[in-house]
Amino acid sequence: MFENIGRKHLISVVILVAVIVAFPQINKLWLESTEEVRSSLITSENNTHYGLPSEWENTQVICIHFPIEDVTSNMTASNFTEDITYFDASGSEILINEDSEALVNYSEGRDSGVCVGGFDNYTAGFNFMLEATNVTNGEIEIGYDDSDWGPYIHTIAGLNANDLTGNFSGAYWALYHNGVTSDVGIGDLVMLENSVIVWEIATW
Amino acid sequence: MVAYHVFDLNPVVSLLLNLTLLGVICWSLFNIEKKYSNGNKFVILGLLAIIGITGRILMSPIPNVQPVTVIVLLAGIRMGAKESIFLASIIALFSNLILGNGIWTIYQAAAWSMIGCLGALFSNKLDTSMKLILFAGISGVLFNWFVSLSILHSVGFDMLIPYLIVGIPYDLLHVVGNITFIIWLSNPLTEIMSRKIESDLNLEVSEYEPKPF
Repeated sequence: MFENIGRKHLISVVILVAVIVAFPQINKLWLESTEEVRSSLITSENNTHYGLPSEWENTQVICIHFPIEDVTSNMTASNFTEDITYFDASGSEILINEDSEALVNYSEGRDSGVCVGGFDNYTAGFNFMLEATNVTNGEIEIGYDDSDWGPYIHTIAGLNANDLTGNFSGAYWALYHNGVTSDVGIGDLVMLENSVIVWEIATW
Repeated sequence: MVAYHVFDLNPVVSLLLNLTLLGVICWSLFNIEKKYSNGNKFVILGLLAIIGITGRILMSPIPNVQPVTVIVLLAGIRMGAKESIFLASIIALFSNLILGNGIWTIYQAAAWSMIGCLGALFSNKLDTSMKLILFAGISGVLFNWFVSLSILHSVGFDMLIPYLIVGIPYDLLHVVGNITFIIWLSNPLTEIMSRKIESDLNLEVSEYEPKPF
């Protein structure tokens, strides 16, 4: 049955063993060299994760969008005044989107920000927000007051909404959940497995 | 109580043990088949299914290196499309009872069936060992890409291309594994699959009524 074992048989085994042994290296090199191609953004507008890296689809994500510069001459504390920076759940910066104009349809005019994503199994919105922003080693610090209605977020990444001045009476950090204004505060928000929560400055 | 069965095996040692076990199973099965099989297709299909299932389970520590693709391809070429579909489905189902069952099982069964059918379709053209090797290599990529479609149940179409790109080193493993298996298994499996029934079995119904006790 295996009487005719020839050179072809032996060479095939040698090549197979070589590929298996070298596989971790081959895979690593491949992942590194294709990173740019793979890190494409989700382009389907009716997707809750529209504009986010495609590997984050169906995961939990938090994004903070910063207002355009003329509204925020005093937002020097933020590190995210240009582009949109994406951090994964381990805190590694995976992508900077320099072409982020009108990235998310409900944030027209907001073209800089930061997103942290790739999380799962969070249920409490506030806990998710604190832990997700914490992976960036202090780049997105959250400032909040405890009120009777739960935590009130006044500062994100150094930008205190109460300090903003401009052609408006006042400003606050508004919360969006999967593309629509959240009915509840962050303290009462129940996360879904595909929740994208977004904070951005709103004015009155 | 000390749990004597619980100890960590080095992955390489574990793989070598698996390969040894697979070698023993294949060696004994081939010999048993030689001794007892009269060329009955059911016996041969059962034997091939066992080799496929045990081969896939025992080689599972190495991703994508397993003999199933080559077995269903050869079954398609030497026995026919229906036989390869049977083998593909049985092997996918039973090996996934150990490796993990899910929506991908149906995709794996379908992908292996497709490869078997392609083998049957091109059986006349795959007449040299070089063509067979080339086709076995291509089958690896075909199988992987077809099974990758199963991710569309959980993620959007946007994810498919990045997913396929990430999988290319795994496709390479499948291709090299298939080429090795076709070189090693083509002759012995062809010998078994091409065996004709030696018709010395008397399957005719007896004309005589059984005698009452």
